[in-house]
Amino acid sequence: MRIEALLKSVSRYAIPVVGALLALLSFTAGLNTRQAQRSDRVLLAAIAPLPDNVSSRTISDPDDPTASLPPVETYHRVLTTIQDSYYGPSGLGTGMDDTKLTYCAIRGMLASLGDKYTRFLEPDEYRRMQEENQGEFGGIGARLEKAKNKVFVKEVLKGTPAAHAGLVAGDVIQAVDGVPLSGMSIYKAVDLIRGETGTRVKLTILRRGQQKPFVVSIRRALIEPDIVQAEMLPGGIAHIRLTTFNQRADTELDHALTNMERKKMQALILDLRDNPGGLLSEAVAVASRFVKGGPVVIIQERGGARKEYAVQPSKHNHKPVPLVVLVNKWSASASEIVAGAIKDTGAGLIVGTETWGKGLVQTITPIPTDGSAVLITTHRYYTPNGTDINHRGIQPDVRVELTDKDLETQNDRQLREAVAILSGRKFGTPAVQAKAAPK
Amino acid sequence: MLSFFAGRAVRYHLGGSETPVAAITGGYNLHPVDVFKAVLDALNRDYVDKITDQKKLTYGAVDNMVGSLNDPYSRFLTPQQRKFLDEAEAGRFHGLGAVLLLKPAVHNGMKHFRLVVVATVPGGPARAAGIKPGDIITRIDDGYFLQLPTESDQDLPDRDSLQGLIPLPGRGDAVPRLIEYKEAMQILSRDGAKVKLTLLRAGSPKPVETEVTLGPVTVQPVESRMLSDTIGYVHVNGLMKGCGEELHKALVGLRDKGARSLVIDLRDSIGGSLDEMVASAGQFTRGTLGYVQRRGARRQALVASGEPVFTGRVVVLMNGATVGASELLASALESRLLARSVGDTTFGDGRDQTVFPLADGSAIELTTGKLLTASGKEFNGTGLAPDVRVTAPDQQLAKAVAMLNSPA
Repeated sequence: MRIEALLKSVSRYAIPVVGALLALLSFTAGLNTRQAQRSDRVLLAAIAPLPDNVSSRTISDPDDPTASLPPVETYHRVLTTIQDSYYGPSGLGTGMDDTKLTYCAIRGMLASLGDKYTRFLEPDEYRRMQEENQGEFGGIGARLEKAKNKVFVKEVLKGTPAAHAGLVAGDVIQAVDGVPLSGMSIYKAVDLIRGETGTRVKLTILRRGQQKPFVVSIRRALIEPDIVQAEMLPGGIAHIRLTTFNQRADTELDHALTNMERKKMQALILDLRDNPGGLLSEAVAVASRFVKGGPVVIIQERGGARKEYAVQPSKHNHKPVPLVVLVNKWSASASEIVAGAIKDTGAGLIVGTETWGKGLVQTITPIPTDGSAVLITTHRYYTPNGTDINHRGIQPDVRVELTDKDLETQNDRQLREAVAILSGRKFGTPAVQAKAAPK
Repeated sequence: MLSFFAGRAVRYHLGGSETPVAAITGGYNLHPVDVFKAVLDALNRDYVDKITDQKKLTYGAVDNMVGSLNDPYSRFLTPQQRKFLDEAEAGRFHGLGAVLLLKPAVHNGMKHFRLVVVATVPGGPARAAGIKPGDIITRIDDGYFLQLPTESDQDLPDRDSLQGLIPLPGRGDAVPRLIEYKEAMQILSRDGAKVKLTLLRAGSPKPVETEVTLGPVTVQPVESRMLSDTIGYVHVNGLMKGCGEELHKALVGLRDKGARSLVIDLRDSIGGSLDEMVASAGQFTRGTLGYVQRRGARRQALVASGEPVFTGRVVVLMNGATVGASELLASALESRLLARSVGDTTFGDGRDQTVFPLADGSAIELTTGKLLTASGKEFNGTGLAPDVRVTAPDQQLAKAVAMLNSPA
């Protein structure tokens, strides 16, 4: 399962969007911080008498299958045993500090639940996720991708330090500040390149057609990657692509809609393909723009209590137009909430392929001790009709697959189908108008 | 060494000098424990389904922590795996009846481990199916074996990195079913079940396919017979529990039948406990047999102190499936008896493991030291070379006998 899930994400999300990847978050940081602090105090009392108790029982009765293995005590005893007795490749022990081993223990504990969305974020990963959610970070403005074990520049964003430094797509980054990237994951590489605004990073670049790598020093700046791309197609059909649901998502979409209205928008294609999701609050806001009333999503707590997130009428500041939502199997979590609400309420037609199928909400609990955090699946969610999409995804109203040949020739069959529908060449105009127009 | 269902038994608490658990009372470093506790608390409080099985969490934590060492010899053992390990130490082998090893390898820049057969036990399913030491298991039923390092910064494999390692279907993202060693071990420990294995074998242009009926087999540590009126022969299958005693009986028997010299066959001898190694060597000699090197440059001597029963001339047979403590036994006989050795270079497993039991019958097994010969030589990874190299298996014994028949 691990391999399959990540294979997908590696092949599709080589662009470092790990933070947003399949993470639908409701921030409850204040609450959790308070509770975590309370448990700190409990901890001190709980662990003090532990080692002798556990050890003596182990020695005297080592084979009692009913014996409990309390997680904290057992983890700590194994940690200490490893640090005291493990010989290591060269007789020097693990070469890992207690913190690193503890992070491994935590990841193993979370993995035992069999829920791929419950996971641990080391301090640097948590920082990166916060940056992704805020939609801005200190960096150089290059999208990276990894292929054949090499990290290379996929795209240079306009007006960024990477562009000023002359980086071009295809440049292979061999090292960052002298640290070679071979064998390193792309996430780690991105971590090294990002940093505080104003500081410098040295990249060792190998460029196509050049024999030797060269080093370029780049000053990091605040990078705000575009998350909305909008263009007006013939016939007054606006095509707006939303790439993630970070904290800027609804605001940027609002701007794009205003922009398109100025260009006489008659119909809208909301493109959520490859959008891995993000924040629950943004999903509710975005869906509210297209759904007239009622719940956008129904959240079920542990224990079964359900809570509806209602449409926010303040988001109805644009004139309703016929709507098609494009989705594919990489449209996940927040994208599925938006698509599900639009589908259930008939606010628009869903076109494309079945979506990812993640009907679970995660909550971030920051760990104040070290700046790490844990992402825990805390809720299930249902579309307004009460449909559970977990593992199933949202079925499109009109199924359009992209073939390998389409991908190679960049033939966007799904977009063309959406245009055909909205321009009345499919299904006849009145029906679509009736179904697709917001009520 | 993945030996629980298979071969080499592992040493518990070597020589009584280890006090593995009770001694651990070191001061807490509150910082990481604090983080672990905070995550556990959040999980128990918030996870979408109430978590009733705390032991599952513990197993997950401990398993991954030990796995992060990326040492094939260090691992978490479930109660069943631990039971199999205990039984293997006593000579009862489950599943395949082979000693397997995860061997580090790199393919298209992807670090991974291959599953290698180190040795097979006599009468066991692996040997019956024609599996040979050195074979690489690439497929078990419909699953292709791929073990990646745990907790590394390495990306998971894409098609490019798998290309050439695993047969891939046509286009797209699809990859055949991959299995990691934990699942492989589960499959290979089901006594009575039939499994299909695909093996890569040196010298065979095509992968070898075979079907094995798994099942337990009991192996006697020692077999003996007379080769001629004056030459005796003992084969030590492995240093299982009672090996020293069995060897004593066998040697007394051979002596009574007139043996004045001896072939000690340590080919396909899968190692075992150092205690039994000392007890076995003690049938021939007294004194220091080798050392265990521990953390912090501590060195522990392995000393035989009993009364030897056989003092005649000895030739030792060894090969690439002479593993672990059996290698140390070979080197001890060479150095203390000035015995000559014949055959091929030994496997080169010079690490010492200790099993640390946990309360419910599970355990962790850790590499806790390395083995050194009496002259202080390390052999991990390199093995020990014979005095007289004879690689053809069917000529090794004849050569040993010829050496015993010629004047010293």
